[in-house]
Order: sequence, then C-alpha cells, then structure tokens
Amino acid sequence: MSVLDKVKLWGLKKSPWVYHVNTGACNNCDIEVLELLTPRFDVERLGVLLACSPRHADALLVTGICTRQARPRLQEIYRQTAKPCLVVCLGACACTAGIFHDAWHFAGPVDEVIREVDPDAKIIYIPGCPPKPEAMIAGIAKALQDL
Amino acid sequence: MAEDLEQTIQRLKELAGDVPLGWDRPRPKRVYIAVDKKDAREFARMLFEDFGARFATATGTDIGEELEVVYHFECDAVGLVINMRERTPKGDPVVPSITPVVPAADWIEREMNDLVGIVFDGHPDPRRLILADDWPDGVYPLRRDKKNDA
Repeated sequence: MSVLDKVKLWGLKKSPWVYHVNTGACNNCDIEVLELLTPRFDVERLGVLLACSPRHADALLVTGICTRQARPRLQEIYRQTAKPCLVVCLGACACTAGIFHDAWHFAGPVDEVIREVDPDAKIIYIPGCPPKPEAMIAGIAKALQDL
Repeated sequence: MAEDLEQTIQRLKELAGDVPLGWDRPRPKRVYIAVDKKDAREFARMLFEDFGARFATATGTDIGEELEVVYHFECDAVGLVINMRERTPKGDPVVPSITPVVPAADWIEREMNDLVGIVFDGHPDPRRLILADDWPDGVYPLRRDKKNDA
C-alpha cells in the first residue's frame, strides 16, 4: 500500500463523509438517517458528515430496493465517488429487496447493481425495517474497523 | 344549523337525480354510486362543485373482463365518503377524464394510465408519470395478465 493510499484510508476512517442515496425507499430508513444527525445520536461528533456531492463521499448510504429508474443513476453515482468508497446497504430492502423481491419495478439487489460497476466494492449490510440508529452507528463503526 | 348525515345524503340524492345506475350504502357513512362512464365527468363536477365534496383520490382496478375506476370524494363536515365508480371493458379502456372539472385528479389519472392502462379522454397532460423511462409502452404492471418476470 502506497503512502498516498494509507493517507486516504486514514482520512476515510477518521471522518467518513457519507452521501445518502434513496433508490426507491419508503422514506422510513431516510427518517432514521435523519435521526442520526439529531442531538440524541449526533454522528457528527464521531466525524460522520453528510456530504452534498458523491464526489466528496467516502461512503454511499443506500436505502430502498433498486428500482428500474434508479438503477443506472445509482451506478453513475458510484462511478463518481472517490475510491475507496464504502457502500452501506441500509435496511431490509437495500440488503435483500425484502417484500418487493417479485415486484415489477425491481431491478436487482443493491449489492449486485454496485458489483456490476466495481466487482471489488466494499459493501456492508445493515438490516432492519428500519434499522435502529444505534445499529447504523455500530455497523459503520464495524466496517471502518475492518478496513 | 349545519345539516346532519341523513340530510346530507338526502341532498346528495336530490342532486344526483336519476343519473346513478346503482346506489349502495353498506355502512352509514359510506356511499357507493355506480355511474355510466358517459355521465362520469358531469357527475364528478356535481359532487365537487354543487354538492361540495372534497376529492380525496381515485383507484383503478382490473376486475377481470372490465376495468373499474373509483373516485373517492369526502364530505368532511359529516364524515361521509362517496365512491363514484364506473366501469369500462378492457377492449375499450377509455373513460372521460374528470381533471378539467376536478384539477386534483390530474396526477392520479396519469398514474392509473401508467399502471392499469386506463385512458382518460380529455386529460390536459396525459404524459407518463411514475413508470421508469425505459418501461415498454403498452405493458401495464397492475393488469391481471401481467406476469412479473423481472
């Protein structure tokens, strides 16, 4: 690993900037993501910031099943991120497609859609409908430890 | 004094006249009114403007040989829900749009057009609303004969 890569990884682990992508969620996971920013959980104290652009992001927070309309957009957003970039599948829908597995608008699980672009993508799964904010913090902390 | 539930229904019956094909009241605060599709726009205008009901939403259903559209109106003062239902055969899925007289029906009629394939004649803006851009024309996901192969 080059020095530059080490610096990048240090920066990512020190303060992961997160870009939130809704690929067809019911908004419940998104509301729980907002909870993370409220004073009760306040992930900014842990260095996690919501980024305004995928180009600034160290992690994509993907909620919802990947719909037919969202699929090319999710892939494009992943291409635009600076690598290394974590992909966090947040909630039952993003992890497994859940009850929408046979739905007509379903275009593939989030992890497969991402792996089409980058077979070595680092993907982590936080199940739940919606996951608790504690679970999200624990999941991201665990993923950062393993990097 | 504000009119009570029975007075409201009486007024509705007077305004409706002999237009409805059928009239069903399964519960005190729920009225199903079947109308012929050629009367639908005028009946919706009457409910909305003359009777004073609020347009809540509409539903399109594939009921086998026919397609059914149910417009849900509410009369909030007495808690009455009025469902105006009309049917059209699948071979001729054209019903009059009520959007020219009830503007709130705009998007829900476009959605029914997307999902069930009901064509709303006279709709001011009948573009695709919620299906994906690359979705094939003429495939309606909520029709009974549509198989989910994705």
